[in-house]
Amino acid sequence: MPRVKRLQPGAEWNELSTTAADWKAADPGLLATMLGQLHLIRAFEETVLELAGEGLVHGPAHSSIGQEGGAVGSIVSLRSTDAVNGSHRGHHQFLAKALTHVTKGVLDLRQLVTPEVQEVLQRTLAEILGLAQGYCRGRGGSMHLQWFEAGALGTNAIVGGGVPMAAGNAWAQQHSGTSDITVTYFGDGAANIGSVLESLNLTSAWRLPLCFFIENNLYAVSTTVEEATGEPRLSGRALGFGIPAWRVDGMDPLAVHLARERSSSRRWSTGSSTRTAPSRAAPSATAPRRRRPPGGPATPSIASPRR
Amino acid sequence: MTRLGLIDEAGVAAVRSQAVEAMGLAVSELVEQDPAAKRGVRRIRPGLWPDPAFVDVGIRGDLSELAGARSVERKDFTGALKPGKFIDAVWRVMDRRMGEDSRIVVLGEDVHRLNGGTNGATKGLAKKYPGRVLGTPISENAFAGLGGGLALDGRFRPVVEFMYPDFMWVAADQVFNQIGKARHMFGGRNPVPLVLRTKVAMGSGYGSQHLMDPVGIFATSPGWRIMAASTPYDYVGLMNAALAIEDPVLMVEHVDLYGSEGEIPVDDLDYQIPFGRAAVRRSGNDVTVLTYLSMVSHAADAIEQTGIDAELIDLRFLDRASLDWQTVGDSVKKTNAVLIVEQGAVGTSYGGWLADEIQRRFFDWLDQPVQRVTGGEASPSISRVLERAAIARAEEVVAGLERVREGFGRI
Repeated sequence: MPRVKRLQPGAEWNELSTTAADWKAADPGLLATMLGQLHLIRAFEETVLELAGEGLVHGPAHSSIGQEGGAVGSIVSLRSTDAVNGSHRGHHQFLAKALTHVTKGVLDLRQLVTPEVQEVLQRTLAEILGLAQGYCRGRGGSMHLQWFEAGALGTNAIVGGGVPMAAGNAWAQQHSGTSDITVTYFGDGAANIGSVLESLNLTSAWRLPLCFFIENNLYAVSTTVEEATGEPRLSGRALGFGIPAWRVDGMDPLAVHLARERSSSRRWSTGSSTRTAPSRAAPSATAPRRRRPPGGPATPSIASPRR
Repeated sequence: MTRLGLIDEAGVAAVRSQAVEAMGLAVSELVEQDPAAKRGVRRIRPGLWPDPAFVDVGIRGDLSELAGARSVERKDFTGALKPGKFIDAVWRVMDRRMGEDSRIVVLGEDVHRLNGGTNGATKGLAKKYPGRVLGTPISENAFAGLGGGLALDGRFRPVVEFMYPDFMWVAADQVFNQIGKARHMFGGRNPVPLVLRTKVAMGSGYGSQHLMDPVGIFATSPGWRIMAASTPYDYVGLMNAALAIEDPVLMVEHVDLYGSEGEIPVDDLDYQIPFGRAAVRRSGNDVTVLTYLSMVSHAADAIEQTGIDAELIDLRFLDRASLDWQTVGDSVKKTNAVLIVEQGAVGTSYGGWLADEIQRRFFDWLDQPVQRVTGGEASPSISRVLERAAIARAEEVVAGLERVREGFGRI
């Protein structure tokens, strides 16, 4: 008989969920800001669907209703110099980043809509409608939302297409002496495409401060995640590249937030070969108007190690 | 939050109503009752649409960044020159630029090893500029896209190398859908300064999947500028221009040229070739020969062999926006005939769009159809004989010139 030795992945793979104690310990200001962002994004997306129903949105209007929690939880504490990019379904991430930028990450629930917040809502909606006052002067529309000043690098209509460019952004952050990070968002459908897998490898090889955030809403158009892959636990993709991964329920913004707190720090240990191995949490959420399966869809997130 | 006493139901309802009200306000700024329709039917406020004239604005930059640039043609160059190989110009100009501009980062397969990659194009750079010459895994799509992300960020200037041009198909999404479109697609204001170097390798025996000329395909992607040097002097000046502008640039090189002898600037590696200026390599009256890269010398040989009084133009700047229409037009109006010369396969060839443009711009001055020299239909094979049969060199240009001569109507 040959000798068989069981091998283990080099990176950790964990699932995080919140307890009552976590909610009690959470900063009330953080919870209030997340609640406010969730409501703003939900109302925004309802408006987009309403306008689309009236034929006023030219082209697709991929709604992020139901997926707000992952975006808000992962973005609310990012700095403006931290960056995000996303997929064709990216209104929620763009809004969370833009709102966090103009409010410095603090919303007052009694006066939710400041002039700056109102401008973000209007200009984002204008972009989705293809109007000149939009962030991309109406060119980008729903699927190409970019606002560099806010750290929104641009959403992307090619599945997985934005991920390599997020790695480039992370390289620039890393080599500019900053502790900034980039978070790249993509769906379960993108978990199988080369751009994502190649970028996981480059990120690992070069220890880039990049978080891969998989929003697993269980469907790529109409194809289920179980049909599309033999390993539907998508956060496991990271382990093959030595990148630690977290799975977290995207319907719980605090869980998403905490996963990141647990998995990353902004320590910037230049000159040290010790890996702090902070990883960025990335949750996923259920799809719009789709019922969560019993137990809730666990949503994977993958984070990357940083020096 | 309600359970923790942080907010009550009325408070949540108030948050919700503020959000809904804000969206109502945003909508009312953008949408109005359609006056031509029944009550309740809305339309976009007509004054808010982009101007249709905006359609092609911002595909590429306006080159204002070149204001004040020092451009010097070879004939006006007063610095010292020494004989050397073309490849020495490639690494020497990059050395100079990296020494002067700490933003420049080189990335590609094996660029950090083998004493300058597979051809010596990055010789000495990895040692001299630690951390700025990045040997990549074999994943063109990811590292081209990483370069694109660097370019969009703007703090660094990526110089990406594809070991062979055909790898652009492997990286096609990042090269064409992302890098080529990013500036225009996101509104036209955010530049993408990136240089992509690659080498045409026809004649090297690498076969069907390594021997294309990528220029024809890149010419279909309007965000890209394309440059090609036929001399080391021009290479230095073109690379300096490529690294100075805010657009993605394909710099095409050729393995046949790497080993060729030419004039290498000794100290002055800082000049540019005047942007968008072609070089007339031979003046003539009978036909305008338009070509680039290694085919410039093949065409010069062919012209000598045929004795036709051809005007030989080395285009140097090959994309639609940068091409020297003035020099081309002046020549066509003089010669009344055009031969476009390139080496590679006809399907991916460059000359098709150029012939179309020339015939529409200069039809009244043409005495015969625009003639073309290209390689064959298939990609070049590995077998030496079949590879030679698949590509164009001086002999094929001779045949092309003879076709033009037949068109003169006076043999």
